[in-house]
Amino acid sequence: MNRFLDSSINKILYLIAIILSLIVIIIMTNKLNVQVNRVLQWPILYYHLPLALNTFLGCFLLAISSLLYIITRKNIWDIVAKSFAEIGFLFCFLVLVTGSIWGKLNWGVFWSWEPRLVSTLLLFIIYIVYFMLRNFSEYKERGSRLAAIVGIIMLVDIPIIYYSVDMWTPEVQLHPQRSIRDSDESITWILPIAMIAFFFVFITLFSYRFTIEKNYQDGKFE
Amino acid sequence: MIKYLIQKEIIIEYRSKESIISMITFSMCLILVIAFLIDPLSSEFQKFLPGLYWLVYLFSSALGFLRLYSSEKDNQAYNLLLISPIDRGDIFLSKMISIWIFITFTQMITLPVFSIILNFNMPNNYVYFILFLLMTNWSVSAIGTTISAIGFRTKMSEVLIPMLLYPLLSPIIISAVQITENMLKGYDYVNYSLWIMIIFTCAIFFTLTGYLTFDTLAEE
Repeated sequence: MNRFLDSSINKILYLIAIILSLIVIIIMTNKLNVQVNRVLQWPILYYHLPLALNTFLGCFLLAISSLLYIITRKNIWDIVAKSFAEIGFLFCFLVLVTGSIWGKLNWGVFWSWEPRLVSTLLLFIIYIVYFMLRNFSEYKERGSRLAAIVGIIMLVDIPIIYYSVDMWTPEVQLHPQRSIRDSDESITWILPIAMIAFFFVFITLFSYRFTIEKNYQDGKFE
Repeated sequence: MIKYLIQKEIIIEYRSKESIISMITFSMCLILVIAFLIDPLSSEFQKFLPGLYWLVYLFSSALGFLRLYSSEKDNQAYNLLLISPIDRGDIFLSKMISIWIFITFTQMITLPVFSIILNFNMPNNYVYFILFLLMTNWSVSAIGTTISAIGFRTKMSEVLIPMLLYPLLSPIIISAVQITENMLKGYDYVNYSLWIMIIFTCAIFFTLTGYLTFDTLAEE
């Protein structure tokens, strides 16, 4: 059986993820004292936005690995796609949860029927259906194949989430706009660090899930 | 070859009348339910009409998508269709065009009923409205045909098809409601050109996706 920390790449990934996360936490707690404006009252930008962007990345990688599975029909791509889907689903869920907590503090409500929130919820629902398709198919190969196609179709929702702040009129929107990055110059250097930190968390979790799934499918748990 | 396949679908539907009758009856039931839920004479009601119209239409079209492939399960007709020397993309296109015809036919019957019973005033520019309906039907049938091809061979197809259909239809639902609202108010094309573009993009994207992936979907 291959253990997760047997491989040196995984060890390095794990270390980088931990160190970068610690740096982000330290910056965040320092920054809390200097309240710049209303949006920064709560350090949402340091984890909500990186989580959201990594959800998008997860979707792209899921679509690519699904496409590769359909073309090559190698089982390894199916395992990759499944792992990306599970971590993407987790990140999508966290985006919704952290966003709701922030919404409660700033808007007074947990949920608002607002374009960006609704389109993210849609992505969450499509993820659930993706796993249902995998499990309810008559046999495994068919489930993988059907899920791979849903994994590609799912990509339609990403531009909708990203451009939702442009497509609808500003009156119906509550979610902060993309111009928020101009409001405070410290965001320009904190945000990339947070993004890279969450990227490494994403990749480490993916690698962990991939190792487990590969062991499971190779029958190494017996 | 597509011509014969569409002809086959239409002959089957003409003889059994399963999809169209069930879609029309279900639309009528929904119109009735709406009339019970909200007082059609109130002034507020006109504001919800575009949304309610699309709700009735999309819910009833889901019945058509559930029947689309499962009607061929009997006597293994679907397997026979797959082993016949036809390009699989053509099978997808024929299914899509035939359900487009059925949905449009259903709409032709339910739209007058909707406008008479619930005071839905047709927009002044009829031609554009009908063209818009035809295009929206096209994208709805493209998505629906792909989704029912994905869902119908799973264990819980009756649950999975609607669950996958409505999230993916949502760009079209939103755009269609916005366009209808703008058209009913008599606004210019400039005000809703973005929404037309979204429906158009969805129509092209899902037609292509369905056409290209049907070979993979139809495999055993």
